[in-house]
Amino acid sequence: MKDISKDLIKKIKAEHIKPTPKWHFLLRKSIIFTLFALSVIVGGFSISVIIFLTKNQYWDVSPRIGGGFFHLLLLSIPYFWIILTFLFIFLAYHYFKNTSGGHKFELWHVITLCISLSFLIGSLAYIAGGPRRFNHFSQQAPPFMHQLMMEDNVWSRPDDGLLAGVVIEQTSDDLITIKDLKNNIWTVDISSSIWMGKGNNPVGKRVQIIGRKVSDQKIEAFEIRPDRKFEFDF
Amino acid sequence: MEDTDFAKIGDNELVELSLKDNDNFYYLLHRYEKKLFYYIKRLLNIDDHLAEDVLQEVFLKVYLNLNDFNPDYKFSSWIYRIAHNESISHYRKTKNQSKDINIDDPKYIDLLKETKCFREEYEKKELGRDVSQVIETLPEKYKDVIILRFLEEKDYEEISDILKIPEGTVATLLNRGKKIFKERAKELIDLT
Repeated sequence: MKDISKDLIKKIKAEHIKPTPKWHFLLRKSIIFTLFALSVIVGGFSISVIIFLTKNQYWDVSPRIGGGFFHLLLLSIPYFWIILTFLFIFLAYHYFKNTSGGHKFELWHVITLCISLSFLIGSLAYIAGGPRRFNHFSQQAPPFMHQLMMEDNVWSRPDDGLLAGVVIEQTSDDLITIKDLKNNIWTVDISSSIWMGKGNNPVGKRVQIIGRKVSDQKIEAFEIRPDRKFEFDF
Repeated sequence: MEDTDFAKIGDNELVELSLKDNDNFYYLLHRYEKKLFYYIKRLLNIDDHLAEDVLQEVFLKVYLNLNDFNPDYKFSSWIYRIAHNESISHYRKTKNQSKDINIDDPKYIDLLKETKCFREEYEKKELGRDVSQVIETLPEKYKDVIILRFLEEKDYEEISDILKIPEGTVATLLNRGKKIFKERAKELIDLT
């Protein structure tokens, strides 16, 4: 066996080879740790959006929807955010394993840690109102299209007594006119309804109506509530 | 500094000295030259010449990455880790080439002694050849831990650091590896 050690020292000297500087490794470690932290934060935010969407779902009107609660449940599962959460928890796991000493932890320990951190951040973000503001801000963003379609699905059911739209006119104390999500005009009897957040002038407000269809283009309201998509102020 | 002085210096201190003067790196490499040479040979089942080439690559990587060494861990684990990765890399490059089984390594006999139930039968046969053959048939993940544990005599913590897996996984792989080893050794006995 030849003296490999001696040969290598000769090579190092002849070719002036230098060890890679320390900052290079520090930078790489910092990047990995940052990616881990970012993955946890994004995963946490996804969780906060899931909490928000679940909590703000229209569970109370599920009996009026064909298929009932489970139908609504299937419609309202925020698939995009769930996939995003899993993706970022996996990424967090991957980056954690690549940190110094990350390999020492068992798979389920790391997964539990990543999920716990994400839930903690997600809950804090939810309490701080992050997803609500985000929801309002990105109404038309693809991840929320599901939610908008979901709302169309729930609140464009006049036959089931569910309707959403914009108040375009108040013709009397008992009657208003609204334009629904499909641009149909409806006369709404509000004489026996409870109207939450009506204010002095309801014209222009977006509302959700729970009631009973009386005839074509006329509905009797039992309850009127502000459309949650638009009830948040900035 | 005389060679005798270097013999008393710990690995971590030698790393520091190597960063200051690359002549000192020789003493660090010399310490691991034979160990890693045999480790690479066992892992890859390659001839001396190829093993030397791989080892030279390992040593060059060690030198280039000296600043990445974390003194919280054992230097031996770190250098074995690099040797392991370089061996895997070499294996991937050459996996389509045929390999001859190495039957000359007497340490295979020690491994066999771990599997007590077959000790007597194997002692009557060409132990080194048989154990080598059995190890070669093991899936890579079991082969890695078995070589490190029984041939390189590393403890669980060191194996964990070398293979970058948790100690619990090391224990699991060792248990399963030993079971598979016994089964395959038995099959070999039945065949002969």
